Amino acid sequence: MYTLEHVMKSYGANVVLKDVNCRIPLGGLVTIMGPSGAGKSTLLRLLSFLETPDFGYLHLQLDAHHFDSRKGEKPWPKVTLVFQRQFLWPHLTLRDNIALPLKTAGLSNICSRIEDVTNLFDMSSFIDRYPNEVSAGQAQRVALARAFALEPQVILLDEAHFGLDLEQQKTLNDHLIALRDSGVALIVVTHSLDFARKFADRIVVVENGSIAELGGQVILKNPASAYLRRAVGLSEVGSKGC
Amino acid sequence: MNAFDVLWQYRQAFFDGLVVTCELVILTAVGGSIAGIALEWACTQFGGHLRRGVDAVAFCVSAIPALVILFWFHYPAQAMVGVVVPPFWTALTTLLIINVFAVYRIVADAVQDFPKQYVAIGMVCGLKRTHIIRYIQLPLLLRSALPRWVDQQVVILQTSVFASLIGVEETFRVAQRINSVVYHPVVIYTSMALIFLATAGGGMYCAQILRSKFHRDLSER
Repeated sequence: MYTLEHVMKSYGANVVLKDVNCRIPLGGLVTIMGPSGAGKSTLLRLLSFLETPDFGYLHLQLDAHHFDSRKGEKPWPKVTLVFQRQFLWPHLTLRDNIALPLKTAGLSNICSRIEDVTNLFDMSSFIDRYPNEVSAGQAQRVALARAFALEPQVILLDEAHFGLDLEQQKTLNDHLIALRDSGVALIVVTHSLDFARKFADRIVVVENGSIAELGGQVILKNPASAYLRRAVGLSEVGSKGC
Repeated sequence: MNAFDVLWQYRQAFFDGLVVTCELVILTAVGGSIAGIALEWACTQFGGHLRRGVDAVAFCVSAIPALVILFWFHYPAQAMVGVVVPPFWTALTTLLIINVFAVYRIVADAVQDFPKQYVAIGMVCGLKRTHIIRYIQLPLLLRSALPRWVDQQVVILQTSVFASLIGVEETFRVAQRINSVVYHPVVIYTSMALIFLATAGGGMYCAQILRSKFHRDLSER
């Protein structure tokens, strides 16, 4: 469970998040939605503990472990983040990208773990290539596999569907669902209302730097936030048009 | 008498000249690299005013021709402080100053261009700071900076011929002296061209290989 109390985050004079108060239960798939520049990615970076709030605090409870942003404790790699872009180290092969965190963690069964995730994410045909030699979808899959190989409890994904074609999006969705079903909590920043409708257990709507709405699928039926009302309205117009 | 005959006949003199050139270039490369990296490290640690000051000096040093700096150190600077420094050390000081700020610029650019995201990924994957430096930052920074560094050392090698103008007995001055004895300018300067083709050309080729090997397309499709 994430608890955010009076969280504020700014970059210079630009206040990105202002007085965010919410509780985000872990488990299943949570989508973070909102217009561009609303503060979704900043919220995700805070949830990953890569950044700390300027004011307020962020608390994460993972089983018996507690992580508090004020104490500087980091939950990595129990909580890990898959970035929107530049998510693989370019000087390492895809196999080494997955292996490096495992090796430095001093794990013993590295080869079998890599084989497992290679098969799970269907990467055997390109696992020994470099990141610049594969498609965006394949690279996204490797980044997800690298995160999964670390056996995290929470994976955060920033704009997971960015730059992927429909087929790649479907493949990614299949993997995300497989991860969710395996017990990994997923928090995904997305613009895809369709994705939220199909797969989200909870939806967080960020608007103007604060949490405008948080709830289950029901909020898609009766949206309270301006952004979600617009998004749902547009998708209905689109479906009638078809 | 062809170029090879001249090289053979005056091999000892050429060899002595080459030794002086090598001393100049190696001392400049090693000292300049260590000091340049240290300067960038200091600027990163203490930031602000220091970086602005170092950037300003680096700008001036790169804008002023090497020959002007060399002559300034050889005549006015020594006259001002009332000392006489051997030409070799004057040339070495000049080349060192040029190289320190050039290496500083190369390392600073590489650090500045380094995508911070790669470090953040390492952190969220649970890598320790030392692992991130060793396995991610250093290899990527080296790949980015090495070709430019080799190019810079080639420039230093080429600039070292100016040392002959203040009386340093390096390769070019040796060639000039041999020419004044035997007067075979075509042969002598062809020999010089061959020597520099082998040394500077080798360095440039090495830089090109490093560039094509390490400067892979880092973008992801």
